[in-house]
Amino acid sequence: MSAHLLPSLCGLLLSLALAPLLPGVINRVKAKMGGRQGRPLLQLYFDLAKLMRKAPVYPYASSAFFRLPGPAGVASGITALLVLPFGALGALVSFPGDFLLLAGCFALARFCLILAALDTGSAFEGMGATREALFSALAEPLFLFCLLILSYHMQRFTLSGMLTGGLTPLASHADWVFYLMLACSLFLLLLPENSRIPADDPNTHLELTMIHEVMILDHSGPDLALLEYASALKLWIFSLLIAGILLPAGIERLPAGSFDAAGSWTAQGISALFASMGLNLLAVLCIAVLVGLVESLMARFRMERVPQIFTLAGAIACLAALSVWS
Amino acid sequence: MPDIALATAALSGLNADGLQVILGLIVISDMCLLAAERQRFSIRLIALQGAILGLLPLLVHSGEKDARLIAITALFFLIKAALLPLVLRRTYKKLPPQPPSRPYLGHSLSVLAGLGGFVFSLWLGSRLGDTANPLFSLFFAPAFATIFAGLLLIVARRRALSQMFGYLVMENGIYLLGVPMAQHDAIWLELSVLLDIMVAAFVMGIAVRHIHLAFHSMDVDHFACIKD
Amino acid sequence: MLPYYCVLLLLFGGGLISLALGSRAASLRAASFSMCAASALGLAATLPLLLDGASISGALPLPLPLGACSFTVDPLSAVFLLPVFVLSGISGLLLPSRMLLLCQENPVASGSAGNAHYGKHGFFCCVLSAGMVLTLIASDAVLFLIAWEVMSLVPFFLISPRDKDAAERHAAWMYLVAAHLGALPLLYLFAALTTESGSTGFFAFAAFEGWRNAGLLFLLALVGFGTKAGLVPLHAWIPEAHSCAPAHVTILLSGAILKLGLYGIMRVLTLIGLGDVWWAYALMGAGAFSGILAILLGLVQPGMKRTLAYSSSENIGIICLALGGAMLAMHLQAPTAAALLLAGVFLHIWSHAAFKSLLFLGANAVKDSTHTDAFRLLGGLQKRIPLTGSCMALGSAAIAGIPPLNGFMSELLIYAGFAAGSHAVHGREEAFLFWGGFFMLGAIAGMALFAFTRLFGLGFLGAPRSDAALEVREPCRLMQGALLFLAGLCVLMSLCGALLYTALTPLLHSFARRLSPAFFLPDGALEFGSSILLYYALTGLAITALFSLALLLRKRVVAVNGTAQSPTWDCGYTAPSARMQYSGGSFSHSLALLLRPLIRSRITKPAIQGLFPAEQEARISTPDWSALLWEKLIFHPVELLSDYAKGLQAGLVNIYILYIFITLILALAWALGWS
Repeated sequence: MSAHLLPSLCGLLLSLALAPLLPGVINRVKAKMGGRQGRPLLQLYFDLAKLMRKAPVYPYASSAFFRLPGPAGVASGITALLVLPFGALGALVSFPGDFLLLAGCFALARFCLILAALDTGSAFEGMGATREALFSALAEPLFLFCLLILSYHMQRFTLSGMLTGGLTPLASHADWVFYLMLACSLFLLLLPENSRIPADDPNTHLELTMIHEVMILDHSGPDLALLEYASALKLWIFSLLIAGILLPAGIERLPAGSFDAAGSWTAQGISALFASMGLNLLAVLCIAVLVGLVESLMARFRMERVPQIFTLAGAIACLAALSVWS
Repeated sequence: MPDIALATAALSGLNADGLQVILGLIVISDMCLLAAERQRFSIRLIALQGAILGLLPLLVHSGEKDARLIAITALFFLIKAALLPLVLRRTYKKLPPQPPSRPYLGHSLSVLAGLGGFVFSLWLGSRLGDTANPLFSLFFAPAFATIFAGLLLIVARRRALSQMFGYLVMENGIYLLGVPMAQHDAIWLELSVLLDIMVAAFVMGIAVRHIHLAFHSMDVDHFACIKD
Repeated sequence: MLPYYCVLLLLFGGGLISLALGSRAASLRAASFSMCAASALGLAATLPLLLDGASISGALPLPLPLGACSFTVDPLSAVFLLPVFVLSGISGLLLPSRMLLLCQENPVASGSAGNAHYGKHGFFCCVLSAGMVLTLIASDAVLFLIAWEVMSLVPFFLISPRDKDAAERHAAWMYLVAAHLGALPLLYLFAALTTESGSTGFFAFAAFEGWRNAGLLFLLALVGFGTKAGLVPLHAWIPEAHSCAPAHVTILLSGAILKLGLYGIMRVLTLIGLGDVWWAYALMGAGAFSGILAILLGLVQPGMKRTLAYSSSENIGIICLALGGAMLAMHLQAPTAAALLLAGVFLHIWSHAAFKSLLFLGANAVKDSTHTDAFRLLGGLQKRIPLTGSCMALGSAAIAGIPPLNGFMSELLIYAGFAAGSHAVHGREEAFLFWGGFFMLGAIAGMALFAFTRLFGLGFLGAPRSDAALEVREPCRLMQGALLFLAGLCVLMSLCGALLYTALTPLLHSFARRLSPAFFLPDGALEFGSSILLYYALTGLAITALFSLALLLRKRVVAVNGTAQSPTWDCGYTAPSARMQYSGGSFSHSLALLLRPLIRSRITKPAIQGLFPAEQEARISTPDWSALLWEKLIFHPVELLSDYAKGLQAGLVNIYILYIFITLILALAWALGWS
């Protein structure tokens, strides 16, 4: 057990450290596609460091709830990462039904964020709050359903079991379609849930068209830093989940000589472990690149069309479910 | 379904899983067609579907691949993947740009209805029992769902061009239903249907342009005024 | 059984003393004391029973016209007795201060006649508690029906204690009509049970096998008890009664009486067995429909209390969905799923009693000082009443299914149960049903998040939208205590999930066995749920710890950096006002548009014409179409018929003689001609 604990912990720390890299990658892809040089890859790290040194400004109307979403977002993100495996080994914590907790963590962060937006008393932030509440109400059952059919297919109740269950994607073509469709459905959910084009535009300067950005208009200083970090974590979690689905490389796939008689790692095992982690990392970065490509190639939808993304995601998830039903 | 899989493997050049992947892709493209708002995207999807379907006889056919089969497959591929999309594209280009119109049945609802159609056809397929040709039970549900999606497109869309997409998709479904039987002679029947549709597409392509000249719109609502 | 006799005696005696004391304030104290004492006694008697899983029976030699005066407390009764006792204790504690406050508010009523309400109100409160206890421990059809009628009718006298407000009176009448109509199927149900089995005792029912029309019996129970539980579309009385009743009555209505409807359904199931598989489908369908529709209608309501009332229907829907799922799992021999779903059902019953009472108390506390609960008039309450606000926030988070709290805990079990069910029937068509149940629960939970961020965010946060919101004050000490107690209960429940599960285990065994003797819950199936709950509590602690750490970090950084205050940004607009904030209608507008076929909002838009348009009015209202359906289908035709029948009553004696004459002729003709 202890032999597994350390790599899992490393995975968690790696996730926490690398999460702010993803928005940088997306921005860099968008800039390249637009023929520009773009911001540095580590821009969000610089921003976070700068914001942590600033004094926050609070609106007169706000109460203590205004200060909650940042800490709540970070706490729920870390909790979600506790149950989400990184690489070949299981997650730090795993218990039956932990995939439901993942949705619960998102709900916690969202609850606090919507309340904080309403706490400012601003008309625009109220608008953002109602959109966020609406779209997340549509996204939540679909997200849960995607995880349910994954758990159904794998016959496991834990995220670690589902993602590192030892089934290889190329074992059978039908399964391969299932994983692809599931990943596609989750990717479609990733876009609106992380306020990306085509549902929301993170870079717009028109408050009327924003969802996530308009909700944090009044946040500043360390509060904003925590919020930015929390949303980067959320993007990371989604990407890691999709990567885990596409690369279900389980502990069974580690080569036979990974452990010695005492159950601790051999050199061969460690290198296999590193390879699996590196593969996952690469997949996460690829998903970020894909998000960047979607953002460069698509226009933002009209607000009334955003629910169509969910319909499509739901339809694909249903097809995935039908493909593994029997 | 292992017995079906075995029988399929024996009958066709491709194993059952590979066929399922292809059929899954067709169903997904149906859903995307139902969800698509822009006609240019729909045309691309139809071309993609046509390409997959055009190659299907070659993939399904077991045994020796003779010259006649290759010729027929090439013909299908040419018509479905190249000719029809090109006609559609030409018609589309000729029309002046218009904003997307609101369909009779919303995009979300039509996707859900298409999904419902797929589930229904799966259910129908499961009630069908064993068929003489095991490929048929594999093909039945996707084919039926494609026909259903085509019908939905015809019923739900407002623009004449989009309705034409519906006819094409429906034809794809009928074709798909015919593929398992298309060992020898049935393929000629299929070809005749295809030619019919192609002529229809040409006629529609011309008619659509004239309709636009007459009504200054492609809304089929306007056709109601010529009912007498 | 002695403690329960004492409880009943205390309640009835206290009620009578209260009635005798009449207009004096002491009458309220007498009622309050008897309710609290009865609750304490009842809790002390019930808890050990529940933990042991034992059941006790007894009978009193009282002469009933039919049937016998026999009582049984088994684990199923005990589960429902717990919230009844806890809530009637709180209700009794609050009774004197709430009643005094109500009568002070209304100077007309507080004169000579006003205080006369005290005694009656105290009496009815006691009788309501007694009726609920009696319903739960009766083990004889006749006794059960008598108790049910008492429990059903008494709230009519409690909903409108001052009897001054037209809306309150309407609510009370609506309640009465619903209670009567709901009791009708139950009469048929128990009459049928009695004639078929030849006895009135529940034990005889349970021992009898081979019911002829079991499906019909089940449907009668579903409709009759569903009316009390508030399943949509039988819920018409809920929003009216819950939003008008005073705080100490509302918590009994929503926390306890609705649950008695569920108790009825479950009790009948234990009597007539698991039945056909379509019963499970019917329960799942009714639950899903009720849950979705109630939460959708709830999140467009203009006021807090109505939103809460609809959400009660929604939670009952969730419980029915899970109960149906459990029955389906038992049919399909999936013990893990059945255990998880049943445990989820009972835990959700407890959780809902705790957080819904908390929310109703908070909403009433706001209404006491502001005289409104409409979102368009409230806002900014959190800064003025931080204690009530924080308790409300906790309650909202709990009911919206936010992780470390108890609402998500019971939902987690239900989700896991549906997932386990689908695993167990891998590859069969029934898997779709479990997926459907899972998805519906997810959809309901998502909408609940919407509804309760709206409730708390619009009511308590932002800037005050009217002067009424500035009037708000913290409620009296007792009420604050009750709020804190219920909030503490919510937190405690979420931490002790595994313990509660252990306490429920005997019930799960006995309930499953009573439903279907062939079905057995193995220990492995039960361990699954307890490990989920244990880990849930641990991760809850982890979230809380991480959250506190992050807050601490933030605080340290801010302490170094300093803070500033400024007006809200509002995109550079120079004259923002509090009325520009989103309010109830606008917040739910986009959802109401998206789900128009289900919500059916009526939106009137002003037609703005000309360069200088005149003042215009825009209005969004959402009449409850599912409740109006009854009006259209039944009440209007009946009204027409009655109007027509009025013509028969001419007021002339000779006409009446003619009627008698005609009747005689017809009777003679029938007796001689056809027999």
